[in-house]
Amino acid sequence: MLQYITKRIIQFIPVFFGVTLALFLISNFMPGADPIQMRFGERTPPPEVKAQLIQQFGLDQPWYVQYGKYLVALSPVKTVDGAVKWTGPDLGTSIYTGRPVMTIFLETYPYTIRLALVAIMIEIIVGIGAGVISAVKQYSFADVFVTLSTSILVSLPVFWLGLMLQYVFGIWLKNATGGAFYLPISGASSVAFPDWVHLILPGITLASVSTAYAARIMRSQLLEVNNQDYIRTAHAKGLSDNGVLWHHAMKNALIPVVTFIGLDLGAMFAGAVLTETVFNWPGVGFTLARSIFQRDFPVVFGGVTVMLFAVMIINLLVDISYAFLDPRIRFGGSGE
Amino acid sequence: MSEGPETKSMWRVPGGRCSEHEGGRELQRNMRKALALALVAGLVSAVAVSGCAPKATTDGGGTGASGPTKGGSMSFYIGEPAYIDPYNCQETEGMQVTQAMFDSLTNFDNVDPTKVIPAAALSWEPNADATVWTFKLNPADKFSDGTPVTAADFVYAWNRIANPNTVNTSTGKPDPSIISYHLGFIQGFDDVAAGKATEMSGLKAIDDTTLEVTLSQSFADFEYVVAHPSLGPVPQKYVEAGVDFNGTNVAYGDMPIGNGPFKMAEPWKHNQYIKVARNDSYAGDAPYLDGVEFRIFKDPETAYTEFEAGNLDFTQIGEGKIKDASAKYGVSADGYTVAAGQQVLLGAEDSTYYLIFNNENKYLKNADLRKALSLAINRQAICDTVFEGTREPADSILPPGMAGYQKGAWPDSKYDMEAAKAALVAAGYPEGKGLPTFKLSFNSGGGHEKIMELVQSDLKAIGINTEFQSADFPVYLKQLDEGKHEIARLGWVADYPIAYNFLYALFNSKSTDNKALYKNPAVDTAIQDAEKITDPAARAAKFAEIDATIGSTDPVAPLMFYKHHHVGSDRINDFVFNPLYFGNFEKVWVSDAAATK
Repeated sequence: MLQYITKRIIQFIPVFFGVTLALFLISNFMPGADPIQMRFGERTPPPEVKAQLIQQFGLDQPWYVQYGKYLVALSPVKTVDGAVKWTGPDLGTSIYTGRPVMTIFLETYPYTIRLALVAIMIEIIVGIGAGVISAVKQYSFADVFVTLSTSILVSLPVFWLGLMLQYVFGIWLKNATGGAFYLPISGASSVAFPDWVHLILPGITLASVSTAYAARIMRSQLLEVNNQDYIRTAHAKGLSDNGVLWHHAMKNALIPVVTFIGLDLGAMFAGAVLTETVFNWPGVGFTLARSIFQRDFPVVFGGVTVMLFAVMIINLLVDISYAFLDPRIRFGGSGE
Repeated sequence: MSEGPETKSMWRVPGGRCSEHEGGRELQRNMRKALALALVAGLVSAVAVSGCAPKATTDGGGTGASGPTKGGSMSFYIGEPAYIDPYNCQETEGMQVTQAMFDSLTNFDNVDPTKVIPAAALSWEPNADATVWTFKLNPADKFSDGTPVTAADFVYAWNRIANPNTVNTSTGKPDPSIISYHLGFIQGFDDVAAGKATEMSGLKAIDDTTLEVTLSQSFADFEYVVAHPSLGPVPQKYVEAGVDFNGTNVAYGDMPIGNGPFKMAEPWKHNQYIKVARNDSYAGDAPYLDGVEFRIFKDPETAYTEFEAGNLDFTQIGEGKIKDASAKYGVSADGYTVAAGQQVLLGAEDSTYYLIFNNENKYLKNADLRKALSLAINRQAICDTVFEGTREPADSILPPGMAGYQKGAWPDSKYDMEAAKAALVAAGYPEGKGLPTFKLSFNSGGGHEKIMELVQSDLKAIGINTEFQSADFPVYLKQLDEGKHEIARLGWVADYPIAYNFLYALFNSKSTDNKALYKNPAVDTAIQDAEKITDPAARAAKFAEIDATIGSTDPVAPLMFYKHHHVGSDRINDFVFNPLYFGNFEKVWVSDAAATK
């Protein structure tokens, strides 16, 4: 296991350099990549201020020098006054707001993680649950319902679903009950509700499409596994339906679902721009999207760096989880 | 803070009655049913809601209150500001907050923003040629911590803006202000901006209550410049040492201390809200409100949904919903003041949307051709079809309500096809013959495509062909800087309600914002001379004359004046959102103040 983890961490090194290098090249050679002008909008910046800002952010230096400085700053250990010290990684300063990028992400990332975990929980409970029911009761009303509703869900635009939920649970319900019952429409906190209540609507919205996919994958995998010889053997041995399902079928059927959910969690950790925008959720997705538009490169690079690490860790955890689901998988070994 | 009557409401989670004592299979069956029912209910309500509309809009609607009452708070939509530290407060989002927390030397009159009124300065006087200004400060003026505001605080604040090595309090690193141009007229500014000095020689604190400002040229409108919210006084000790909040040291940039009617209630919660509370040390009339919550939204559409749900007091109206909102909430009589039943604001703003003609282009340097282009554009159609009538056809580059604006000042800024065709003949291009296909440039993604489609079809109608050239905003601006454009769009928003702010920036031959490349030495001189006239009425008349001179040759084609498209709740009273886009929170009172105390 340790060998496998080490191997995966080593594999991450070229991925990190590949992604960050590509990003630096794109940002340097894309047309009109002038973050200073973006700060001034339609006004022409005074030349001395522009020159000062260009110099301050090192935008007058060749891309490889900027890249080198980025790598040095990222290193958590630096030489300070001749001594090697732990300084923590420095992601630079936002060109647009003048704030440290690390601070920006420390403010926004917890909200992204919180929302992603809620969405994943919904995905696991509802998605896998509906998929299992659908497969076990094939061609029943429940199966038809799950198949139909998941088809509808995957075709619904996320922002539209979000808006509908806002109108139903935030406005319609509030008016219908005279203000007695409703859910918060936006934001992460308010005087009226505990913080967790603010997670309900964005969590459902973010989870919706993936939950439908998870249910469909679960259903098809379980149906496929149920036709395998070893399942028939298990039944022949006299095991109960539940015993066969939970002890034999699920372990194999779950692997593609876990892979999908793991990848989805990684994607959610990169922020959910639409859900965050509709529900005004203070996560990382919108911050990053806005920074791309503003050409606020330090924030973009910082965000990508943080996400790279997050996705790598999640992928590693997903791979490790395979071992518990399928004993045939042996990490780093010769296999059986 | 913004606590509505609904604060005790709570969503009750369905299925809460499900008992853990129920038998396993029974529970399984029930859960299956519950799951199916929940899914069905969710889908049914999602479909059903398409035809639903909220019955009520705001809570605590208080038309019953008879007059101003102290207490309560209001919530106000903004986007995430870049800065609220006045030294670099650059956009409307941050300025909404700073103007509530800082009193500059003067202020724009709430009723007539073309006039300035005393704020931190009780009186002021220019010398004969408006090059030296003496401001007498209010000796009672205090910062929110109770320390007196002195002339030295203004000197410190302004030098901080001008100095390119000013440190950002969040990082401790130099972060030059991008709004230093406000102070460009002050003697010694250039030396400070160039790093040769750290203090402007033209700024002098004569004593605690006397500030003398020497300008490098006559500028009779200086009293308007010093009304800008970013030019308020700043306490040096908090900038350098930070602000204590419940035992935690907070950077000044996240919790500025000022001398305005409100003070920060807690540090800026980035991407979520900024809460300000009444400043009990305020030297002016105490505001009625206990506080204002500036709620930060990523998308105005979400803010409008919150407004419709009764959770927000003031916001922009969502796209395509102006008519619906006007019918539902009523339109404000003056376009700027919110009153119950007259809540939608549609007043003109001090900003203009216009088309630039490259005056150095081989064809476009022909004034008759520019005249034909301007006359051919149906501005009213653009305002009606694209903006639901929430913009107004422009008849001058100066917006209405600004001193110097005269109705119909630009005679060709109107729709007249026959006159356009005649001008085209006079230009030597009858029916457009002999003209190339012009590039019609705009920045993509800003909703300009729809406007440009109408412009293109209008020009086509008189025989002038155009092709779109759209680019991402930075690329587009670079193209304009390089002067490669032919016909292009831009918008100009006033910092202060003075004609100079438009005419110098857009038409002075040395101005870097003169993208039309208009050059008229007589106009350059006239603009400078106008700023020597200290009598406001005479100065306005002079600017009106200059505006008409520029308009007579159509260097640009003004298309539309921007208008508010905002709405307030029926619980807020006497709230004015002025043409400069500033909300005035000092006089606002809420009808349900007692209930929300």
